Amino acid sequence: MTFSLPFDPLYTALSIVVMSDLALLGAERPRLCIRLIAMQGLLMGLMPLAAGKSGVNLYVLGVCAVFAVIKGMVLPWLLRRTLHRLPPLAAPAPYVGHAACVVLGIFGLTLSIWLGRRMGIAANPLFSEVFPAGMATMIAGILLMVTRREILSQMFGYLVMENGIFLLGSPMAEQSSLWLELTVLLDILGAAFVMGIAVHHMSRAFDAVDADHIASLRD
Amino acid sequence: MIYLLICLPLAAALASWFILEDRRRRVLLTGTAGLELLLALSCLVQPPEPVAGGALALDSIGLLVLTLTCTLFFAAALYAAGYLQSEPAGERRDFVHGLHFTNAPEATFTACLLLFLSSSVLAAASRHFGLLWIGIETTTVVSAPLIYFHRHRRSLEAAWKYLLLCSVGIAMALVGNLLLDIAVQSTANETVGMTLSDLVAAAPGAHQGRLKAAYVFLLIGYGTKMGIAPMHTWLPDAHSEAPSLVSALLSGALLNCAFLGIFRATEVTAAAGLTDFSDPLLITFGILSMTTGALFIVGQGDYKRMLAYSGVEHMGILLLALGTGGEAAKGGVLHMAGHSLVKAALFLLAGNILACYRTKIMHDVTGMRRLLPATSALWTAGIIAVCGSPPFVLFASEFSILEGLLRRSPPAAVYYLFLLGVVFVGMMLPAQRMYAGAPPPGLERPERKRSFSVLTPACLIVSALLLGLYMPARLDGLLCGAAPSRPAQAAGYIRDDGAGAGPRDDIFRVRPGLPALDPNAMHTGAVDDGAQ
Repeated sequence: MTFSLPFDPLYTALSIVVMSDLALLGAERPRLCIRLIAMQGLLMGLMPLAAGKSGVNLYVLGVCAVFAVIKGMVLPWLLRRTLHRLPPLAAPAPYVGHAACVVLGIFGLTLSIWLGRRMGIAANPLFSEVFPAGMATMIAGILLMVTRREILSQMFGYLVMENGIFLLGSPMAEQSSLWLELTVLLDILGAAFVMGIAVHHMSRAFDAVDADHIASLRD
Repeated sequence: MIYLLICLPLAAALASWFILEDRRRRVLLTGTAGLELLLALSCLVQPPEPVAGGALALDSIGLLVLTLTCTLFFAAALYAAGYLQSEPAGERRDFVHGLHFTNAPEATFTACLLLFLSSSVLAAASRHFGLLWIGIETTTVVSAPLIYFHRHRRSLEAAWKYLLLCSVGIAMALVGNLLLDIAVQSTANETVGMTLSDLVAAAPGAHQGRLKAAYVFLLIGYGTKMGIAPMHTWLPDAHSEAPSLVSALLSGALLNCAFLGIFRATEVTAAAGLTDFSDPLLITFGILSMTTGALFIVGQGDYKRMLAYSGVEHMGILLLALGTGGEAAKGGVLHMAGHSLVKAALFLLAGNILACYRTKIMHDVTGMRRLLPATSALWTAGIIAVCGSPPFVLFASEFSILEGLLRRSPPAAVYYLFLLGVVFVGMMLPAQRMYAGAPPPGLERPERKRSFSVLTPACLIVSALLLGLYMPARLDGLLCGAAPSRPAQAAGYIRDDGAGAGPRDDIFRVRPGLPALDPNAMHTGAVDDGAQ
């Protein structure tokens, strides 16, 4: 007896990722951003399973569980911890408004779909399917970094961009290379940890969470 | 051996967190650095066997970067022992803004230094693109706390910029790795590994469009870390605000690791016959970086920032040499070695000047020959060396690059000479002002407490001088082996992409009936005549 889902799990997951990108670009409250990043992270953790190249065995399941825990729980916990340690200052207005950011995100998605078609079918057809969502997530991360003045948002942007890259890499993940992906993820975790400490120190040293106030080093 | 090279500093870093006494921790730091240098030198004599299926192996360029990293780290560790001892405990006043600040715990600083060594060695020994990325990204994570050793606003700002910009840059390099994987897998019949040898062997049949896209991402990504313009904005801030020994390591060792990333990517594109695509990119970014460096050096008021912009200029020279190929590429590899030695020495000396004058503003630093006679002599020698003057090694390397450029593009060679001239004037004039004149009132000759603060940079500058006068055969062999080869099309040859060709020899194989090319004779009249 076979059991089939009434929907395609991969496309559903990719649609959720793209929608969360747009929601992140439109979100004003940091707590909502952290929740969206956590949701993205959980989905990312399961992506190597969807790739199918690795086959599903105990090892792959274990590594995917570690991915999901780090991306969906540890990194958001780090973000929440950093947020709690920030002084209760009003968030500075972004350089580009939230609505305009969403429009830019939609433009980024369109560009990603166009680029995906231009690139043609790669050896692994799954890559072509994942490419638009991965690229759009990367663009959303970059937009978050360059359009927001709040230093914590720059950290959000970095993590969203990394999610996009992780998504792009997931079709290539083979069982033999999962250790490499895990090491890459641990590196990113280390970077996020150091960034969290830096954000906390900056908010104390400059008494501000505005990136514009942190620009004393010039020629 | 390679595992030992990576794990020794890693273990020492872990141990340093558990050692409570500062003096013992400093002994651990210098001891580990010394042992690591000895191991690296033994690799020069007897290169170790590749491990991890060829993912970790020391080829010529890897060996050179490893030796330079370990040499500079040993110099920095000797300097650090005295430096850390002289740093006062507790709060003190920042001499720029007058605000109070403290230092980061010494255990964290020492551990991060050792982790930096471990990750740099990993990057140098990696022939696997994924591992190389991990090594370079780890250097970013562990060196950010080093920049923020003095816990004041400026160093925090510098560390944040460094961390954010380099992390984003390195993320771009990760995309480049993915695209590289896709480029070789999409046309291959079986899975291609990500080691340099696998990629070079698969490159001729790879999807060219995707390979080009991968190269652009790798160049931008590792270029950000290398500090090439216009992605260099983190570099002057980080190098000027970090403690001098950290600036020496960032400039002398870290930039080489990032250059190695671009170097490896260029080897793959060269094997794919895409030098027509990669060379103009390298030359453009090289010239842009040299121009940016020269523009900001002229009229620069901060001597540590001046050294940092000189780093941007020299990274431009490296890209220019790599893009020019032939003798210029060999000169580029020599330039990498020379720049590391001299720039590290200059940053260490800048630390001595800062400790005495308590300012980084060049106009306020006068009469160094009276207050700091040894430092001032070495500083002047170092500035002369870094400007590419004879008889230092940088003169020989810059001359080789000029020769290569004259053959490839005379207008670029003229512009290159012009920029070198601008940098020479821009650095020599303030150095002369710092050396001469009367010391500021109230400042007296400091008591000599740390002999290594002068001895260490002196050894580095003397090494740069000796290499300019005499090139040991082993090092020359290493440079010849490390210099990237160019595809035969550059000299009018038609390439034969024979299956199973090696990473270097294949590029110089020509169609039957045509004379074989000598990799070291590229761009020479003899070779060109042969082509006709």
